[in-house]
Amino acid sequence: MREFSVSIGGSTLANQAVTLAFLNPASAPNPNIEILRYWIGQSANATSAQQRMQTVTQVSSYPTLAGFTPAKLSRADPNASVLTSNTSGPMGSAGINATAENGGAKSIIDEDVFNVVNGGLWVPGPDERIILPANVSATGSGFGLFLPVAPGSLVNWAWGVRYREK
Amino acid sequence: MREHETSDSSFDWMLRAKEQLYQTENYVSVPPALVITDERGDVWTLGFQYGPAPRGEYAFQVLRNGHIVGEYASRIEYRGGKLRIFTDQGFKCWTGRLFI
Repeated sequence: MREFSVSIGGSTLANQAVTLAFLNPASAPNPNIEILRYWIGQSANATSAQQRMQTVTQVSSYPTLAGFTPAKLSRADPNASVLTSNTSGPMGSAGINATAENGGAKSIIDEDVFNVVNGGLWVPGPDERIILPANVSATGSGFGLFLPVAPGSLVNWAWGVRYREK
Repeated sequence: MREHETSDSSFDWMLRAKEQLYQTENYVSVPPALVITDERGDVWTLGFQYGPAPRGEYAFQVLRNGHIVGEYASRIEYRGGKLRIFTDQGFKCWTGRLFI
């Protein structure tokens, strides 16, 4: 089972809408990406406040990111993820904590709200997992974990996305 | 049951804070919340390792301050100051020492 994690903590966000994590499947015939869970939390303050969150897909003008190499979850897996660290979100890449959104249109999969003191966790049921097929278009279609509005406090955020390649 | 490299490691958000700053309101569940902080300041969340689950759901190890408590649940609920989990054997309530 090839499973990987894109996760970070103690991060400071830009004071704007921010793509927290961006995964863009590699071109076919590479594996599909199955999202197993994602979470968002913070440890900066204990003041109750609601925060919007979205999962989105995006096909062009990807965010400017910090490149991130997905961590391997299976000890015995000899292979790294097909997604490699990249700052501009092309096919077959992973990145986090966007510093610029670059205006690309986002299609919302789910929109939700969480209280920042409790954080947010999405764990799908067996029939609810999001599967991102290996890309067949020229530019690809990436998956983003996105805060559509800046949070009140920008520091000490933690989030992650776990996925399976299949 | 699968073993993940990070299944028994602790993230900052799983751990008990040095100072009790916040207690989760009543009627909060994990998920969709990431954590529940009880009146003792203990932080509860679901870990990454799958286990026996209620029908139609996935269950994960229950973590208290980042440590495994020996139960698998699909959700953790905080109701009226009481913490309970939903397992393949139904609801179990936290007594302060164990789930019954």
